[in-house]
Amino acid sequence: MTTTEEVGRILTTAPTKHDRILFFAALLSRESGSDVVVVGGSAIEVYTRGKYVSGDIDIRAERGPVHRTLKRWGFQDRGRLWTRSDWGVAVDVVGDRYSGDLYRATTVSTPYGHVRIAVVEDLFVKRLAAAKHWRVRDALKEATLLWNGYRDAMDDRYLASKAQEYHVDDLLAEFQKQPRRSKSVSKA
Amino acid sequence: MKVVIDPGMATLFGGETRAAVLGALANSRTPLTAYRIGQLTGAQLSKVGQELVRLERAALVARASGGRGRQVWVLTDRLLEGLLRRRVRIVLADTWSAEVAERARRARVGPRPQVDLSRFRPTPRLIPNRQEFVRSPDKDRALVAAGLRPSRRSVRAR
Repeated sequence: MTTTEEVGRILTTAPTKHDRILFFAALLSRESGSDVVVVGGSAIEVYTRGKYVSGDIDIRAERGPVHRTLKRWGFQDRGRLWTRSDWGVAVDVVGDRYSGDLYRATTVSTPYGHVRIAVVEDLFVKRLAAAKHWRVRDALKEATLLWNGYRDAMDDRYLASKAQEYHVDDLLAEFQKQPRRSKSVSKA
Repeated sequence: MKVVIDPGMATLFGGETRAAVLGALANSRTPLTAYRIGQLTGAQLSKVGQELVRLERAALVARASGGRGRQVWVLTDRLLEGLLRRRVRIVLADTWSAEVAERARRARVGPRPQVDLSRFRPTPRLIPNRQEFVRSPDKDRALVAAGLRPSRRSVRAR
């Protein structure tokens, strides 16, 4: 069992804010026994190295076990959000089921256990959807960052099916018009 | 925690552990020891070793010297690597961090598509899980109450 003091120490010594998100989510997954998936703005933050910063950590996980663990770690229940001000951490368990193909999520092995990060294709398509259907200008910027950074890692068939599902296949086509880079990023 | 593998990939490769071992190798920038693969996949070391030997017989992986008497493993087929990198995404935090840094740098200097959103007709009612896209103001209020920074998003993706 990881004590509250240990969690605080790990968060303090995490080299970057992205590591903080990963380490915290991994600890939460291990301690709660729930499969934690980092989603939303937090996932975009991890994928883009914090170019866009979200105020809280959005996760998909079983609410009951996760909330019990957060309570044990001294988090305050503020309705939907669980916060711990001195750690600068706020957690939102947005639901228990991931809406995309969870098997495509990136599983990151940290020193504190495994954690999953939302599928990059899902994040990209949902940003397109936010831009097209809700006219969110920043969403297009975020989508562009994901596209420029991860185009070579995206699965075209999965991307196309998600674009249809979210009615953004026309917007996706605009991105696909760009010349594709010849060189892919070397693998991790 | 054992890593959860796409059942399709497990079927294709004849088992979850085998698919996980291959996925770990496919996503790694450097050759991996069996111990490291065990860490990545959450599989028992003995099972990892068995799978590596089987895969070596099938010429899908190869062993090499990692220095200081360590034995390391690599994937030998580039096409297989491409499939696995799309469908079995398992990475170590430290090595993944290096890849993400490189991708983020590339993303920032990459082209910005000039998209005129007014050309695209919004159809929010057709979107599944559309409640996901509307950020509750309660959330930002809770963040402020806790002395934390609210998000500047009003709409987001999960």
